[in-house]
Amino acid sequence: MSENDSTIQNSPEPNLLSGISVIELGDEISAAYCTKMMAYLGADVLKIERPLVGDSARSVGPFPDSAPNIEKSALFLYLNTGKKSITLNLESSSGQKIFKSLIEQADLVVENLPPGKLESLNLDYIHLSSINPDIVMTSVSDFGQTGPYKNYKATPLQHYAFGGLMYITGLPDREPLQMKPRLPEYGVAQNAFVASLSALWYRDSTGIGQHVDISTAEYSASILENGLSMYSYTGNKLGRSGNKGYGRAAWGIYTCKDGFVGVIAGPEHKWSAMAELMDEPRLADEKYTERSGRQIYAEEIETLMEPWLMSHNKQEIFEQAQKLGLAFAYVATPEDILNWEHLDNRGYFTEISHPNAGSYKYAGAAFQAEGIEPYWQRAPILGEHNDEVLLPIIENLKMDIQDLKLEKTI
Amino acid sequence: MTSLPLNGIRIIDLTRIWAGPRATKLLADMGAQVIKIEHLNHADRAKPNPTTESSQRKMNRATPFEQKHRNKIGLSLDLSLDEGKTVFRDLVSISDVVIENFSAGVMNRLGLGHENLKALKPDIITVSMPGFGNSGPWKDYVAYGVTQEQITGLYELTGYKDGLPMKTGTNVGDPMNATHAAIATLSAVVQRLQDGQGEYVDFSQYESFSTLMFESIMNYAANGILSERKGNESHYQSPHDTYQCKGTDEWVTIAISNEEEWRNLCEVIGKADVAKNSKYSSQQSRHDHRKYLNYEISKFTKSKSKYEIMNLLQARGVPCTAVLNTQDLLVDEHVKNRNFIEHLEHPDGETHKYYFGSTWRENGSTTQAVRSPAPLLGEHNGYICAELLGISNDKLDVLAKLGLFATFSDN
Repeated sequence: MSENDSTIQNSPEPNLLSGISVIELGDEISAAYCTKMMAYLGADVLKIERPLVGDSARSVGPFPDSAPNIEKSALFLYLNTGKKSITLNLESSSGQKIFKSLIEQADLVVENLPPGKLESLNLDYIHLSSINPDIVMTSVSDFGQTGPYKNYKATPLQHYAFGGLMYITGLPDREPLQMKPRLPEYGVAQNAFVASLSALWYRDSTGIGQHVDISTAEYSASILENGLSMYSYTGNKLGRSGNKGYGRAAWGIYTCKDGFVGVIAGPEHKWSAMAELMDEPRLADEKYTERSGRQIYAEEIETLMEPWLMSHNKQEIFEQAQKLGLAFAYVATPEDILNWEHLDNRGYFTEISHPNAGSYKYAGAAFQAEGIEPYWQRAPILGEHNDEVLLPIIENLKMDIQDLKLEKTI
Repeated sequence: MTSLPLNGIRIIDLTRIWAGPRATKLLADMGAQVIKIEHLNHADRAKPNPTTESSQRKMNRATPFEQKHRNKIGLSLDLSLDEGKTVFRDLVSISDVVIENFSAGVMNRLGLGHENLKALKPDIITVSMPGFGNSGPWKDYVAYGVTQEQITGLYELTGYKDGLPMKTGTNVGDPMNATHAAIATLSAVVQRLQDGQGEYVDFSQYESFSTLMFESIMNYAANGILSERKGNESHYQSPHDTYQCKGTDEWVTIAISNEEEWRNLCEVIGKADVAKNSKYSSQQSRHDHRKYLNYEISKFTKSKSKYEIMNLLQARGVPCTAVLNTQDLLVDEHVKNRNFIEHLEHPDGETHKYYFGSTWRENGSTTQAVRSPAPLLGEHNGYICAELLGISNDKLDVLAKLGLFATFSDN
């Protein structure tokens, strides 16, 4: 890994959120991913971290050589590209005064502290809007700011459980399963972006600020929208069906020569391509064409597919099937993904180097747009922007910087 | 809020199935006028609810369609006919956004690509969201939600310990890509306010979903480590699992992050002595002895209901929730208290309907997010053609005879 400190990867162009000042009080994912996207689109994002330890994501890892270091956590580095970092203890009265000065100039606060925490510090929306009347504040939490479970605690395991995603994942005769990536937290952060941007837009046309309340549990539940409609018509609730969708053959994961491949046969008019792909004329039997037939004759179909699957590699199965218009896939590993020519060709990855952590390939943006110049900058070192951001405020408030450092306010 | 943020924005929605329709649902919830275009020969209502109703009612009440099309209006239009394309072009000239999730190149083949649309409406925003983007060697590859979940590696990371990769119970990639697509659209609309320019958004569903699980890729890049499937266990927390409760297929999850939570868990399950045993005083040692500890926890959980356990443990600050199913969500006290489930009658159905409300709330607002149900096929043909486009009745009759606006009743 190289040790050079490259900060700005692309020359910054005026972008759609340029001029928008965002303060993030975020821990781990559910606020940070939202403001990461805002920074990418040109907003000025200031992340406020706890003195000495910073965001918990700095301690979570993964770390190079698995050696914990608050400047080398891949989770932190990925989630905080393009932001500035200051340290501030919001529990102290001087920390609160500095925070209120920052609020005077801000357009948006995105936070995911436990509900009630900011209220206990007199820094909740009511107090902040008395300093800056049209400020928008977006609060992300596990269960929302109101309701009987608002103070309940949750980890990623609970986000999957309470929202209903866990109940339907896994085998029918075994325990329900979580998914490994922390998707509900990323999803709720996406929602925080949409809600914040629409609130800012509303503010621009009306002059009225808002407090937006977003619950991770509700976000997770909303993913089950198909199941909810089905239940409301039929009274049937979704259950677990293991690796096969709807109990049908050729709509799920199968073992192949070197891994796991997704055989996804799709609609009736594409079924004939299956026989061609697998060089197995018996698969063309009309009784398999309809989806119902693929359920009734699932075992027969699977017996016919097996020899071809076991004699081909995942990459060739994927590409050959796709060339016939079949939406096959395979269960990709990070090693596969980093080596795909398709992603390099589209410029999906961005190499970003960091003075402590070195250089990594990062995933690019979630979408590409002709009018948006990508603006990638590495994640900040803890408190890297204290001098730049805090010195003028400290001077203005007639505080002593040495005192603030000694009492660990900054 | 009396007005909604996106009032005045008109979106032509050609998207189908899930990721696209859910994206425009979010925009419709915020007040945009979303015109869903389908046709009898190409309706986006693949899976009707399994009842014995007539085919027309079934299609109009297709369950997967319902949730994703509330607050939208419906136009039935045959884009394969030149006359259909003319109506479409007229609509583009009075709209702000065109969004589609066809395979790459379909819009260009129809003569309706971004460059064509720009000629009609210079500041039009086009959002194109095929599976793998509009460029690169895989641009013509096709993808459903399950394709995305495998090829991004989600299934590689999901599954029982020592078991096979596991499919998720519902496609998570589609709804997550939907929010990114809403973000892209909203961003382009905001940008246009500033510079007056339209926008072409090239949205690869693969790239969108992949950005949400990049940690495992960075771990591999940094350390060459491929993550193992671990069921419901965690590599840095213990106990961390799903436990069986009283009843059939009833479960709770418990995840211990620190020593205080560990002590409180032991006290609640009547095993205060276990917490005092130094053998179990770290996450690692508890992980090593998880078989015994899970046995003790299960003895307790099997004797109580999932809600009893959740409330007892949460009262002591221990992260624990019941594993809820669809039915549970509808009656959960917290969900009800926050008015997250909304109700609305469908114009072609006597059954009382449930919808998920908005997943965000402004200033404690309890305004219902669902203002109107999903449109019947072609329900708003009259409004769109006559009022918005000013097509005369005589002309409409001629076009209708070509089958341009066919709906289920013409079947």
